[in-house]
Amino acid sequence: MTHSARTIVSRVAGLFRRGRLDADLKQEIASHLDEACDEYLRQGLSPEQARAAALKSFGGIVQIEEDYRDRATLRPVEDLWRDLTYGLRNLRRSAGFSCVVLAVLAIGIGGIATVFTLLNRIVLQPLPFPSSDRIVSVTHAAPGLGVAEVGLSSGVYFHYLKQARSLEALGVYTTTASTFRRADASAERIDLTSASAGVFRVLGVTPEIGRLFTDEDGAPGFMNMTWAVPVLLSHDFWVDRFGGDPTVIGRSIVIGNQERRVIGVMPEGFAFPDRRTDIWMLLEPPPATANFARVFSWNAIARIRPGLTLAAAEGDLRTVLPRIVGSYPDATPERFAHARLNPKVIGLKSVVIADIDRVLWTLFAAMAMLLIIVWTNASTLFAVRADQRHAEIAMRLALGARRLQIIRMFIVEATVLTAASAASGLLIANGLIATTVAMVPDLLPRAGELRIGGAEIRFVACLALGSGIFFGVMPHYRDFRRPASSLLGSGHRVLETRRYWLGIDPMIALQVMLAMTLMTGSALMLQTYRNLSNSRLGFAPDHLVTLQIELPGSKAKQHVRLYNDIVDRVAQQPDVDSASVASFIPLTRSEHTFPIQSGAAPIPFKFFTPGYFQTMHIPVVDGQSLARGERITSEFPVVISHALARRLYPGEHAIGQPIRRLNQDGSVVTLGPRGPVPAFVIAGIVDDVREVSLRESPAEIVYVPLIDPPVEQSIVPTSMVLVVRTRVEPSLLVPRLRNDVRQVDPTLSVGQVRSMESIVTHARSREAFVGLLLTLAAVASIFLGIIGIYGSVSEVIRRRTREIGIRLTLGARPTEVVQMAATDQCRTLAVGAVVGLFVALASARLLRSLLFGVDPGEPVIFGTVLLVVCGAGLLTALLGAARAARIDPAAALKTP
Amino acid sequence: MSPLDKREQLYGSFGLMVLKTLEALGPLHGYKIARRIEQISGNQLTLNQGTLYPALLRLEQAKWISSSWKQSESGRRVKVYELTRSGRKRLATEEKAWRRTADLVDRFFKIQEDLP
Repeated sequence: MTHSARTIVSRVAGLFRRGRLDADLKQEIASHLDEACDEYLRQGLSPEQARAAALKSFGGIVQIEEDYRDRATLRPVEDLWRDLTYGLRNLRRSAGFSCVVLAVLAIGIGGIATVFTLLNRIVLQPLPFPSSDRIVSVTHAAPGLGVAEVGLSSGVYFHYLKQARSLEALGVYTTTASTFRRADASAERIDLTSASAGVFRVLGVTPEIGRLFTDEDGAPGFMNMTWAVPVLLSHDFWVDRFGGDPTVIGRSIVIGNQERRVIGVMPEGFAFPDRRTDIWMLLEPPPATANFARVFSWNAIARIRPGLTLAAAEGDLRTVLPRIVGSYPDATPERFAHARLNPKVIGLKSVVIADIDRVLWTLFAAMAMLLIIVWTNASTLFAVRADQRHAEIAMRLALGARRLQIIRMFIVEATVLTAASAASGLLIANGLIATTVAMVPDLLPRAGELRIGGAEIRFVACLALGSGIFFGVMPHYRDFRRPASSLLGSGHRVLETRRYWLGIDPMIALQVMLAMTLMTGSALMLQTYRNLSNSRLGFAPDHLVTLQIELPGSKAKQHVRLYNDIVDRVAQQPDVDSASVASFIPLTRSEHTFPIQSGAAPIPFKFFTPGYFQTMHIPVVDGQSLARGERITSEFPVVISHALARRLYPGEHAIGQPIRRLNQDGSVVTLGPRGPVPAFVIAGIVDDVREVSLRESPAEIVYVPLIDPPVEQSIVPTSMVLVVRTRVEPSLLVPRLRNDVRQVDPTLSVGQVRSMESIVTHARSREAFVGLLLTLAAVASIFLGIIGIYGSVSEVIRRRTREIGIRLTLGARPTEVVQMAATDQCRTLAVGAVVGLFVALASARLLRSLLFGVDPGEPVIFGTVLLVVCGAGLLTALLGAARAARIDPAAALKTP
Repeated sequence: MSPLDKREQLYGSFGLMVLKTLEALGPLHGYKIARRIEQISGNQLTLNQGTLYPALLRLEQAKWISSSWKQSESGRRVKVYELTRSGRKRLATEEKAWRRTADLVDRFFKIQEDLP
């Protein structure tokens, strides 16, 4: 350590023992003077003379002490500390002012900190994988198959693996649900991702313990029955089910009734494709059985070579893909040409965040507006306070303080307040985010990465510091350009703290304008939410409870019997109205979609046990609905939605018509040597149901019954949902329903239990989230706007009390006085509202993608908002101004 | 030379005298140091004795001297300063540098005298 460094260290240390240093010096000087005195006495001087001589040779004690103190500690830090304690004392003395500013700023900063955290963690931060900008998702547009987007087929996967030079690594995966056998032999539903070894190479992750899949792992092949497929556990699953036991590596576990071998545990926070996955199982299909176009169901991610752009990689795949013709038996030139596959390479991050970035930027803009309102409002408060401190400033200047020192003092004082608001704002943000994630876990992507970290704290600290400087300097800016004497003279007279421009207070106009904009946004979102709540579902969601059921693969042959047994058993419960099992329920992800016409978009298929439409209260439009116990009159009966019937057989009688499931390439499904699968027969038509989302137009869907003889033999739905309509509060029955499922077969597992009503609410959660935040901002803005207007009117009255007194004495009517006091504010209000109308109209477009059933320029909404803002503003201005009429002329004339 | 050193050049040579005094006479308290410096300078250097204390503080902050409270011969509580190891080293290098500078300047004066 150099001596200058040592010096700084001891100076910093000096800050903490200033008192000791001071006392030591005093003692040292006293001893010094006494010693000197002694020597002079020895030289024969009188005591008085000796004392005087000692003092003279010592020099100015005060200067020495000053000099010593300057050197003992760090002066700027000490000054700052003094300003800080002074500021704190001052703020405590005006506790009312401090609390109001603190609360207002905390709301403003909390709002923007919340949205900034979401924006930063979800949209701005790279995905938590090394060089994540090179990780892409690979899909294909397939207009020939009638689909906007398909994944990879096994053939395309191997083809890319061999030929695509632009890709450093390529991996495929699919997600499903399965069952895990617990220690007590009961089954538990898990989320399973089947992933090739390449997926982990693409992501560039390392396991917490154990190892990842290797290419050799796939070598034994899935046909080898003695081989246990390797699996990886998620960190949470490992901790919850195995207590974080490291000896789990190499152990056998049973998933879907089959032995699997644990080879590794993924690190905490690893979430691919999302947080839900509990277990990753090796997906490494044998190249021998690969085909070009049977199914394009694999999702693919790839890592592109360094230095290549996404477009270059996409171009490479486009060049490479046609060479697949001839590599597989079904890769004929005709098939290839028919599918019209077109590779799409998209950054993985944009796939993960989907369209949430637009939503978050919109919210960020809204919160910035709220912050501006908060700033203008708080700056008015600071300005009023600055007025009361003119005498203090004048006194300090007179005593020789430099203007810079005084400004520094005000900045420190304001920053104390803004820093406290920032801290509260961070707490608000933390609470809001935690609540949101806890209440609607699927609302935001990358929810596991949401936390308030360095970037968020820096952002908020900058806001706090910026506002501190602003509030410290702005109210005093004009004071420092006046001579000190004018300040002193105005000690207890209220000066004009606002600037008017053509009789308009621009600060208030700005607040009105922004409040208008926020109110409009919130009104549009609330209307959207209402429209979604009122959208016709097509079924009755009340008193419905749903239980996810997983069937182990070994029970596949008995699935029809098992599901019907469950329904029979549950239906006997005293409080159960009716029950049925379906492969998915409305407003959740559909499990199976198939083309029914060559070259057209695939249609979702829903498997159901008889009685489903009765349980859901879906009205039957025509034909049979396959209710429980109904006699089935046709072979291979299916039920279709009204919308599908209208499209396939417009104006015709659809009942009895055939409908056929096709392969994804449009070919007829065949079942081994038995030839083509027979076509379904439309037995009934039911009313349209919002199957996919609350927004979409009524879904086209084919309902396939699970009956004997089987209607569809090539697919066994192993993941099903038990839907029960109860006569009592649904949650009361859940334990009994679980028990019923276990009684039918203990290897069945029951997963998520949700009421249908909560599923419907969940489907509106994004709109609710945006609507709620915008409404909070709007309410805060209108509230602050009212305070602003009231403050502005009160100030006019304070400033013109004498004048008003004189006018009243000379016979002015009270209404005239009120009018006089409120004129400027009303003019300001009008200007702010008109400008706000245009700003609101422009910003409403930002919300367009979120809106439903309401036009962003909806005149009724704009009219209402205008009415509310102007009404509230006018009322406030007049109520404030009414005080002018109550002024006592005699008292007013006596005020200075 | 760092700005800190530059600003304190004045104290620099004064500090050097303090260090040298402590080296020659061992631990001393403030008054003794001041008197000693005045004596050695043949009373040519009459300083404000008080200026010694900021200088001592600076030397102590640089850890070239250390201090402790002791009894003086007259029984007073005084702060006694003592040269540290790094102070000794510093003094040696400073002394060398001082001599080099002095020699150099000396030589220039000699040239002046040699000129016809």
